[in-house]
Amino acid sequence: MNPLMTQNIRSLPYFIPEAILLGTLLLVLVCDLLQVKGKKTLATLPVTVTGLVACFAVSLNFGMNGDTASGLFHGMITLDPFALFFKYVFLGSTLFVVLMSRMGSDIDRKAHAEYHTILIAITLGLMLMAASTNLLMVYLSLEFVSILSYVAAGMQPRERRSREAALKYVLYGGAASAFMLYGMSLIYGMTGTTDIYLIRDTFIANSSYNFTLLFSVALILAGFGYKIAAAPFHMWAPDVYEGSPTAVTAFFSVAPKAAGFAVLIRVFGTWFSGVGDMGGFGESFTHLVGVMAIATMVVGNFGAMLQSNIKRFLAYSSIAHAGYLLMGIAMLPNFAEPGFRAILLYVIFYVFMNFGAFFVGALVMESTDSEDISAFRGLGKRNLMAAIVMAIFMFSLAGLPPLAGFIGKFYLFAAVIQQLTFFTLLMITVAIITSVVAAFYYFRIVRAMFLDPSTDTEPQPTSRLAQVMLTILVIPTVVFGVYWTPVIKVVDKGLVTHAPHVYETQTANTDTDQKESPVADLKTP
Amino acid sequence: MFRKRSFHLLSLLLGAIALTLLPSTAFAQGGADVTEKSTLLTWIPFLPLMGAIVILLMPKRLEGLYKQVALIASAIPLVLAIQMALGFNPDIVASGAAGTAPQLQDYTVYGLQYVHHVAWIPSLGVEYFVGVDGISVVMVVLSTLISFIAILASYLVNKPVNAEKGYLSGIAKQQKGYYCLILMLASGMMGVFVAIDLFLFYVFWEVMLLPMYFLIGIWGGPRKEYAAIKFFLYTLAGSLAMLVAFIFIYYNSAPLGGATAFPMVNGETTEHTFNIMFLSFSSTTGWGSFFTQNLAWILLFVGFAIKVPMFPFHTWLPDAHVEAPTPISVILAGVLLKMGTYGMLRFNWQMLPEATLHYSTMVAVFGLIGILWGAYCAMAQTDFKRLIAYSSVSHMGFVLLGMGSLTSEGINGAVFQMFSHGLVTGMLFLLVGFIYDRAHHRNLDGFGGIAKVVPIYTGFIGLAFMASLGLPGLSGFIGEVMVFIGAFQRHPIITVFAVTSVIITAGYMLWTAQRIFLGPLNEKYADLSDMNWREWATLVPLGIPVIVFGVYPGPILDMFSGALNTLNQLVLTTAVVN
Repeated sequence: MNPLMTQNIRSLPYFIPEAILLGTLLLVLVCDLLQVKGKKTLATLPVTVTGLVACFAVSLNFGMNGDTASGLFHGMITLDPFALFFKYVFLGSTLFVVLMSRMGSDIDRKAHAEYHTILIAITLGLMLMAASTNLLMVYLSLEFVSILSYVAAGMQPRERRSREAALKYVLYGGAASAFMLYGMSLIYGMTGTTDIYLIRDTFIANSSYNFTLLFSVALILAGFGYKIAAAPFHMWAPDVYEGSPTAVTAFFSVAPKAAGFAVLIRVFGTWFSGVGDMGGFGESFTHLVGVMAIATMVVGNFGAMLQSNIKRFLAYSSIAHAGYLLMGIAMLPNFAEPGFRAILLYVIFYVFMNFGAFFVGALVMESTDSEDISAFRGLGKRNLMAAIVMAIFMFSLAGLPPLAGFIGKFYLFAAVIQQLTFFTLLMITVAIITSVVAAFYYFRIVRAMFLDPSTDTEPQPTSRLAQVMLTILVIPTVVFGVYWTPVIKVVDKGLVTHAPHVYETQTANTDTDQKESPVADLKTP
Repeated sequence: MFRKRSFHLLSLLLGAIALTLLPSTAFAQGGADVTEKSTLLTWIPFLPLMGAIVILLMPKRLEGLYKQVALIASAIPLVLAIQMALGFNPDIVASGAAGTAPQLQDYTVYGLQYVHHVAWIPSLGVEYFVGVDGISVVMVVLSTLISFIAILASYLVNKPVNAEKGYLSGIAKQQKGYYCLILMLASGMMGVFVAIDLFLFYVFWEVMLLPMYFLIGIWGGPRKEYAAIKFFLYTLAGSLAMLVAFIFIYYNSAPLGGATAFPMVNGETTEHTFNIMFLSFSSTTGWGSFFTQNLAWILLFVGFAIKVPMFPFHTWLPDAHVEAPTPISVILAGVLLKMGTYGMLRFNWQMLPEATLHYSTMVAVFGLIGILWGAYCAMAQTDFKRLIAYSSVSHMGFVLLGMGSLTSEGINGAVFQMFSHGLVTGMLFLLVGFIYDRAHHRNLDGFGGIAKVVPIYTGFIGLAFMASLGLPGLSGFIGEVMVFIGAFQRHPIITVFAVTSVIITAGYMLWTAQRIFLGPLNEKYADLSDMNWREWATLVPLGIPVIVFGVYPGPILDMFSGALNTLNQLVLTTAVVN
């Protein structure tokens, strides 16, 4: 048999989670087609949930057994603890969003099948993003996610804002992808390969300062920065977040952002952590990403202060959090591990607190039919439990102990302060000032809920499902703030990525395939 | 009626049982020896928190019992703290600890007593570690006493006042939330004074902020939202600076005395530690340049100075005081301000003695500015509460001056002044609250001659004023005079200027007394009622120590002088560094 074919077939067992998602996706579509006219729609929700849970279970099984493999499909993707960690995050987020949109009314009930299809497909793309070890695959999966996200943003075709959001997303996304592709092509021109590990070997072989490299890294950063909504590539985020259905917004603010950081860590972490200073390149990289982090923190926090729309407010807040996380990336050339650990930890905490904030926000928007922050007025009287829970999420997002958000921030700050230079001092100063600003605007919501007078005191009870979901979100936010050793263990496990020499030994593959470099694969028609 | 009375009786009975049983059980676990480990210092900060949880779970129909539960949950820590202080051995100081290898066998090497020490997050080197030494023991007593008084004072302001203006001066609305939050606040501040782990300290420190924000923001005066967020943002900025300094110290420390790692209580070792005592006495190096130690010192100092509040950062204090309800003002002035100066002693002085020596004159100068600025501002006020708030700025300036003098008298006087100011300002804010409850305003010019109507009230306020302006025989005098004696040896010119403030203080205090109590009687207040027994009950526990320790300050001074002299020597010789 063709050796290329053999490797593909041998890679398949490691691709089961993704395959399950693909199957679910098709099944949802078929369910939708099979529905009988005039009768109750065939439940797409159970199918979707079952598929996601099954996929989660299989991924978890891989993680528990320590089944890992690299160089799958000719070095395109890998199955390492790092990718698995992010797969859990994506699957959990999707599951949550599917349940959350069940409660909202902004997505047409008839369109739920398509909606679920798109969500599952995005998740598939995100999982591939976190697993990609080849620039080509990085680009393809990123673009896959982007194109589906455009559709998801436009899930309310009758709403003008939704259409506008989708179009803006497309335009910005297209430009960012073009930048990124240009950067990747420059890297390919310099190294002759798209495999990120082989590229790293080239960098180690000739470690000297290289402006073209910095330039192409900056271009690639534009593409990734767009995904994580980092300044100055954040402009799309507030408009898209405002225009999209609330559940989709919540999804956008968590999952693609996490995937963006996964790719950042995978690509830049592989290339530049531990390679030394590379003739001054390390410092330039820190400055490049650090300036981006500073800009993002400033834009996000000061922007959030000025918003009155709940969704735009949360959009800017999520931009701000991306800024804090970017500090961890900026420290990469010298202190990679603490920064990565902090980012992974923060991602876990961020999932809980940000979904929580969106969830209560969605409940309030639904019940008051208003997207203005003043909709929170008197929530402490109308629904005390929801108000208290929202306050906890706000405090956690603001980074106050003893809540999870503080622990995340603590690890991030610690990662930056470890090395004291003028630049890190500048970063940390900006981080402190913007944290105070952040406390100010998160407290606007708290103030509206408890302090501001309100005439509306009619009780607004939450449904049982909503109560359960809020409990699931709020307990970790509080408990992990006091005792986070289990999370650290999960994160430390997830920090393991597979360097190329590891995958040579770990794959069951024969040496014939290994000797063929991925470059050779690319040349094969 | 019968139901209500039986509630009271029941709660009193429960309280009495708890008060007698709990201390003994806490001691039984630790043994009578103060140097042994005990859980006593865990009970003190966590009992109020448990009380808060109990109140949270109580159904609405038991609303009348919320305050009883709160009172019991704050009374037990007070009893425990007094027992702790009585059993405290002041001879145990950290005199020989500097430069030794970090060790966990004997906590008394670091001057610690009543230690409770368990693992928390070993991977980060974070431990749950509480204990008291000479610096903190008085503060623990003060914070438990003031919390108890504040909750007792919350009983008083129980009736809606000035309903037509749309706000209540009292705690009649949302009692559940109020008592939960005030107990959480009490937990946080007691925790701050017993924490011997940086991380734990920071958590307690921040835990205090949120209840304070709500207590001012919900139960406060007309501009409560503004005052609450101003207080919150100022303090948060300070604590973030502090956090950076903590992380910075954490990474830049290495064990001394030939040790390679810091021991942890669970038997493991850690490369970096949050243990305050190790960081103070048994670690150094890595500080590299002068720049790094100075940076940490300044960050810490700014963080604590905002809390004190020191001169350029003091503007949040008058706003917060004016808007806060009476019991919260008492806590704010009585305990929260002391946390700033306590933090300076515990961190700047003890951990970074070299930089402290370098900056001591600057601290004294800031103290002087605070003394004079606060006094002159107080003179210009027409709002009674604002006046007391500015007098706090002035009196906390004495603490800074005493600490900056780096003499034994100065630093002892500073801590005595912290204790005394807590009692006296607590009294003053209570008294302002009482008159506000009756007259519904605090304008100094709006009264006149009421001494004839409320003689007992006038007597109490006379005592508080005299203690505040430093009349010999009252506790305020001891603190001030020790600070002056100490500061004069090192900074004579600064002290000369500082002494002038005594005249200004006497000026505004007496002028205030004159405007309110003397002169022709304002007919509007001809039927003011004098103090009731509950008001007596809140003032007497504060008034007695003011007189007793003003005449005989020995017991209090003995408690901390050993530890403070050791600390002062440490700064002067900077034995730890190098």
